[in-house]
Amino acid sequence: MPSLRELQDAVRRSIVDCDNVDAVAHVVADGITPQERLSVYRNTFIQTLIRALRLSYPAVDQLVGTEFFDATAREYIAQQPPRSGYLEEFGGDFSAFLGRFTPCVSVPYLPDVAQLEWAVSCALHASDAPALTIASLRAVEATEYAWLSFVPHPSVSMIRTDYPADTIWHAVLMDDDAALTAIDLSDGPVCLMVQRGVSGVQVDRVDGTVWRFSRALCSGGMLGLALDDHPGIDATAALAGLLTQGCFAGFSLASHTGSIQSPTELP
Amino acid sequence: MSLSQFGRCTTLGPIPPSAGVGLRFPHHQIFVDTRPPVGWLEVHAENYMGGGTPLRFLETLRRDYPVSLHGIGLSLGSADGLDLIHLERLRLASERIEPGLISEHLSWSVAGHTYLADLLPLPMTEEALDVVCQHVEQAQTRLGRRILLENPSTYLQFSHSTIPEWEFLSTVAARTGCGILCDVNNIYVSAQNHGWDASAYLRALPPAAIGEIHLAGHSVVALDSGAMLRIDDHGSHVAPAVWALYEEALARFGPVPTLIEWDTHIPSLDVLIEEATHAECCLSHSAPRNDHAVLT
Repeated sequence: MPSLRELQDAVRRSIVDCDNVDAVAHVVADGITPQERLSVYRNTFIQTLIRALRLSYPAVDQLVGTEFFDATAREYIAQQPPRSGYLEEFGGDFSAFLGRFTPCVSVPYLPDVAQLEWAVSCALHASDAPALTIASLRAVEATEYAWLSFVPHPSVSMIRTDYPADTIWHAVLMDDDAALTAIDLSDGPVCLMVQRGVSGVQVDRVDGTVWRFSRALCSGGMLGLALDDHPGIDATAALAGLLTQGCFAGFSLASHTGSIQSPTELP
Repeated sequence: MSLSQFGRCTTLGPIPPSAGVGLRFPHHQIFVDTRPPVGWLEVHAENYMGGGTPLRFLETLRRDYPVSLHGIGLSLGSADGLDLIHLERLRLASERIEPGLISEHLSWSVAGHTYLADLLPLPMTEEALDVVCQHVEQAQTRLGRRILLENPSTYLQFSHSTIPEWEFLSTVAARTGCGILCDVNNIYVSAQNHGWDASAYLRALPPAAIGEIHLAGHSVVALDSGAMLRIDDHGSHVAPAVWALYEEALARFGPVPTLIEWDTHIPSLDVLIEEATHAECCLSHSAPRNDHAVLT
């Protein structure tokens, strides 16, 4: 008699790897073969996960067509099945998978579109958090600015794609054939900021330097260090943009000695 | 106390013994716009573990309807132990939504760090019984409240099972103090698939533990071999035989909060409300249970 863990592992191998060897021995036939009974669960597993991927990647689905998407999704599911029952987290590395998946090489911008769609999906489902306001920074002394670091809003992603993923994504989802034809694939790389705003998810193209500075801050880097790394940036304007867009959910002040570069004023 | 506060208090109490419907995304807007007359709503916990628009809709409806939180991903029967991150997500969702009931399933979905995206049957063994009881207790402790455990639809049985499912479920309830979510459609589907006596299943459940009933449609599928299997797909009207079994359940359990679930081929809200009205009609004719009468 198998232990519960042995049995569950055998059923997992049957469902995910189509390896029925150990599972069938423990299933009652009763008019239907154990293989057929197990295939009911395998079918639900595959169909549920394909549906979840299609919901997260509607533009990729439209670009390659349903049949190709399903076949690609099956391969991905076999290689990287979900780890938890919270399926909103499933599919985060689909973009990297598409980049390696040989049948997709003829659509070189597909991983980029997938990367953008994942950022959009994450923004849609991210937990709620009040945005940090400019007013709440008033209490910080000017001499302390350099030691400020920010907590990014849970819905914010900063991505950079080799191809113009934003225009492709938009044209595909809008079913805009004219826009799709007009796309110049050499119009990249593009730096994008994705977040959930009051009226839905926003995808904004950002200047490269501002994007790198913003990404440093969104990664929790100290303001003074971000300034050191991006000389010449108009920090006040960049910060004002990030704050008014609600990109941060909080801030902290590092305890410090010595001095690093500091902005002269905050927005 | 203002009227709005009063309204909020009434929807925060226990789920009433009336008919409710499963709230699904395609009906969010029409629910908010029309506030149809159903007794209560049930949502899948996993659909509201993040923030954004879905949670806004639910928070709006929460003011006018009692809400039950129904988990599908906790995998109480996993030998590997509970996913503590998932349990914490469920606790946070419960904290935000303040549901009248929380329920999960007598099944497992996770093995070897892989989520199998279905409610898989357990071997009905003493070992599995211990595992489920331990995890139900762990979940109840973390959530700070009693949960209901639902009987699954199953398409296979394990040859080393020694305990009938109805006895397994009743024992978990007795040992852990959890309640039972009696899914009448699942009893019917499993009974047909395995040659059980559905009425005897109902008679074996302890009436005092029954906290909720589920009703849904199922389909009859011909497998490649030509054999027929009933599949619980929540994609059609409740079958006549299941309505009949529901009447038996009400006769035994008294009026219990009853949910209409419809998850695939989701119909217009009118169709869902019609099903709920049917259930409400059955509920209004069912006599209160004796032990309830004694208690009150």
